[in-house]
Amino acid sequence: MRAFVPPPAPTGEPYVSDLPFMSESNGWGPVERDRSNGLNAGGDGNPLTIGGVVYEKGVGVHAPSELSVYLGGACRAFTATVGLDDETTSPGSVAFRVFGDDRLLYDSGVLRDGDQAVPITVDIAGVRLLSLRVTDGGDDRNFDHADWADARLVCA
Amino acid sequence: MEAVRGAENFPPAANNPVQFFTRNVVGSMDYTPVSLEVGTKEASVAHEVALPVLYESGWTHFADRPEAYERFPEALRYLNQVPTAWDETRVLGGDPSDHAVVARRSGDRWFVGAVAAGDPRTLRAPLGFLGGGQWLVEVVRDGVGRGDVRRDARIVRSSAALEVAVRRDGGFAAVICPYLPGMLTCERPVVPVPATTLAGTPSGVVDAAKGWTVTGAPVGRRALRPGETLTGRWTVRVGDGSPVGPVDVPVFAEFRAPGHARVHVE
Repeated sequence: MRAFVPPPAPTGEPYVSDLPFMSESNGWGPVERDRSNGLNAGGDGNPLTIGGVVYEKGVGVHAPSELSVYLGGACRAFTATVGLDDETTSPGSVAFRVFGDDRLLYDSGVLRDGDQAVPITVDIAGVRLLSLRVTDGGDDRNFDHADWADARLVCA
Repeated sequence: MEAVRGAENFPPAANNPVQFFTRNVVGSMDYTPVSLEVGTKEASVAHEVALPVLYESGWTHFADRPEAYERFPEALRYLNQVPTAWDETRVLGGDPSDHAVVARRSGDRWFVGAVAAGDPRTLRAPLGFLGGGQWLVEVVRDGVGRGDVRRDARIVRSSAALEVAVRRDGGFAAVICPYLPGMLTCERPVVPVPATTLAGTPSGVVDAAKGWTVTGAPVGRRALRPGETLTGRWTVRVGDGSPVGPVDVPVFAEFRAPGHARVHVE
């Protein structure tokens, strides 16, 4: 059987990369906090960079990827700037999707290397478990280094 | 246990003695042996039947379909006797590039697996590892063409050796047990584990309260009839120091059944 032990609900405006992940899966190596995905070891990423702009905070992943954070219904907005990280040498493609309690709240559509970073704001009022997923954009996972830059919550 | 580049990759028969002396030396391996109707059919049927004795796995997955084994009843009869785990292993001969002969003990029975790569020859298994007294030996060897294996029995002492003429990429298997007057076979009844299910409610993920303790004693019964249900009820509380997020709460049942000292169900 499985039990879920909730952490304290977040308060203020925390970055997602400073919260415990309730689940985590990644296409190559582990999910990186405040770094790009890098290679397949932990902590081996570079500064998060989309279109030449460097972001200090955020989450660096590799498609297909999923991570979730516990909100306990205490937050009302999720904001981030999403796009493919500059660290790859060949073009990748991904789609960023935000789920609240398994309900799709946002879908970026397919983004490609060289596309502008996309700022997003998602209403997450009442959401208990926030899930950030990155798909391979429909053409396999190679070079799909994806950044949830400045990923942040607005909570009570 | 670790996967090897096994039967599903159609390796040449010449690889089979190599795997025994290389990969299997350092640990259990999942080779998916005994391709009778699938695969390259390069190794002989008796060679394939010897593989689950030659290769130690702990959890052998066979390569072929269940119906294929039913079309080889003598092979199936032998395979049904091969245990999953061994008490003792003796290498009786071999060379990685050429052949491998091994004896493995389970309880008071020994199983012999022998495979050759290449030309026909006589494979030899000296039986000096057996204790004193008389032993019943049943040898399984190739039959006609790619047909079922043949079985023959004899009574020996440990001073004897099995010498079996094998065809190209051939092999043989044997089972040996202490002989008692009147015994005709080393076979023992195969007793299946009774089908058992374990169900828990709630079946989904539950939010856990603080306090990581379990209230409620294990439930047990001296005897259970077929079809009888045993139920228990426990309260689990999660401690303040518990990690957050999803936590597995193992629930299992164990019982003894004829032929099985401990059956674990989860």
